[in-house]
Amino acid sequence: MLFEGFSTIFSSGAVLYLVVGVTIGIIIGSLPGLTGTMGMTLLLPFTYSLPSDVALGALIGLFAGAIYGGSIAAILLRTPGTPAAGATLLDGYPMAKAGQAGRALATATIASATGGLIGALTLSFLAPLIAKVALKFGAAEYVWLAVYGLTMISFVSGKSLAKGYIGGLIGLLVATIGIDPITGVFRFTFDSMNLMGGISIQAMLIGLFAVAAALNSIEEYDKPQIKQIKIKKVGISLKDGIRILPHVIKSAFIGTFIGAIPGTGTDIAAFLSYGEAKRSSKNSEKFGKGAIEGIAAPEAGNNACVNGALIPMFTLGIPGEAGTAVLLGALMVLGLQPGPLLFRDSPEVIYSVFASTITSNLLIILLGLLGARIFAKILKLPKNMVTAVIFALALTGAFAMRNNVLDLFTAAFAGIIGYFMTKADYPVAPVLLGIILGPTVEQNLSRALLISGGSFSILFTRPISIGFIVIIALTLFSHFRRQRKKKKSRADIIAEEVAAETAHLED
Amino acid sequence: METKRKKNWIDICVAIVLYLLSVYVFIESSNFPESNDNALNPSAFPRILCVLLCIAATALLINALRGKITTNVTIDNKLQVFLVIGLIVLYAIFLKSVGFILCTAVIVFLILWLVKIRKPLPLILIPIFGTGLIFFLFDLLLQVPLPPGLLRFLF
Repeated sequence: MLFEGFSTIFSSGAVLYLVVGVTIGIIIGSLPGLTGTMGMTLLLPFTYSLPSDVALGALIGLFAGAIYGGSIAAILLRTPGTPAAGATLLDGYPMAKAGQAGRALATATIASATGGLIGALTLSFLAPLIAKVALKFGAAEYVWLAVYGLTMISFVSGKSLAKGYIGGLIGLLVATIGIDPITGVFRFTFDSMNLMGGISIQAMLIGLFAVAAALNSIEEYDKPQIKQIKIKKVGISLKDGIRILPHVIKSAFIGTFIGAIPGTGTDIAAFLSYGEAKRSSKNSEKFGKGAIEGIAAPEAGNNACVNGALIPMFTLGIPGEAGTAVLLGALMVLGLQPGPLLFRDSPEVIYSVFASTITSNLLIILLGLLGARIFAKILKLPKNMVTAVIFALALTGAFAMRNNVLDLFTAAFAGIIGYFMTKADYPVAPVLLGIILGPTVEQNLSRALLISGGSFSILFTRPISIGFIVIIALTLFSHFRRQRKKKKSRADIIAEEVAAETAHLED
Repeated sequence: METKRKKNWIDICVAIVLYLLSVYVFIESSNFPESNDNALNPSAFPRILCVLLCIAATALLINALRGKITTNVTIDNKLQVFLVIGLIVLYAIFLKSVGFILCTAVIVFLILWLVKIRKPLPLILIPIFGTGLIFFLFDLLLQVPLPPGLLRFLF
């Protein structure tokens, strides 16, 4: 099946879109302030007219490219282009300062691609197996699965659980606007024709993740741009390659595993990989001063994590963090219903997407090594000018999807509200989780009740359901306790240690 | 330009707005027709959400009143941020009547002006080429008809 996927993407010209996706991803990821989630929302309107597998491939390529691209800014500017590259700068910048920027960039490129490749292969082999199990789920299980997906809000809530869940519930309510799919009743449409189809997910995505981020760049417009370190020669020696290989492989598995657990993210994968490499390395005293392993480990980890996070997204329809939530939204905008049924109903799409993710990692090596100098040049672009064009691109994209001014207003208001929410420590990712998972909860709840003849007991009697309920209860309980006791998770502790190490890195 | 507000009034206001929202949803959903079979009533799910929302709002309110949550909102360069917000809203209002090309060129120009770009070359070229590029991508490449507005005579 996977080979058929490869032959599809190479014969249909999907590879070209993949090259475009990965290239845009690297550029967007390398520019501080622009993230992969923003890039995906901006690319989404352009993918609408493409076949869904080509479109998805390009979006995933962009996501992977952005996570890799973050390392370029981390190494050359000492500013992570994306949060996931936060660990990379610890050793990347000192190495670049010592005149080895090219060696650092090549390490990051090779490690990212290898890590991503291992993650993508794991995804391709593991996902169909998980989907096979998930296909046995009935309506009641789906309800709990989606509710479990919603408890991911606990992980992205930041300081206050209440604030995170308020965002999630608002998202769930927004999702009820429009025609009720079960009974056909109009809900909260304010007698507007335009609202009958519901709020456009596309416009919400653009607002929350592109417009809001661009507003944030406006706020920081007077921050001076950091001077870049010059690149001499791009490449690493065979000796370097052998030295980093065990760390890359280990980090790739850490990253894939972390990604596959919903509620984590690429930044956590990067920091955990860095911590493990430092712990197990023979020259751990060189970490923080330009150790090559210190670049390879987090980069392999975060790119592997991208692919690991696709496992629950494709098989169960559960997004692990903001990036996959945006992808999941994109999936729905493109007319695909995420979840195990996707494997049964459109396996050709799935396998061509898997082939795309594998290919995109090979493209990262190619583009990263050949184009390092060009990407470094793009980093010099004046940020404010880029921001101005992003506003135009985001607003046009919101309008163009359905040729609808209402969508433009949705994007504008979602952007403004999203900006202020972030300012007041209300996380925006839960809103998206609510919008995406809301219909799944409601429709399956209704289906379950139809099957049971109106009795709610169907939700609590099947063994898989009870398993989910236990997991949900544990997730909620542990987070509630952690917040009360202000206890820290292992990832937080490592992130803090790393932050302490960066502190003395100041020059 | 930096302001700091130490009070929790933001969270208290949010909680009150959420209560009002819940009340509205309850009243509005009472007009929904009931479902004939055992399926979920159209009003049921929004109402469940509102109950949960009220619980979350109460948790927020209690924490805010006890001073456990403090929300500080610090916005640098307020003038720029609020003017750009205004521009976005105006863009949405005028896109249909004034047209894509004029609106987009103007908003890009004004944003550039607001972030203190004064060199004439970028100030003129970025709006023109930025708008041109987006027009090319959407209108010509993707065949999405963008509103011509006042420039209707050109098309």
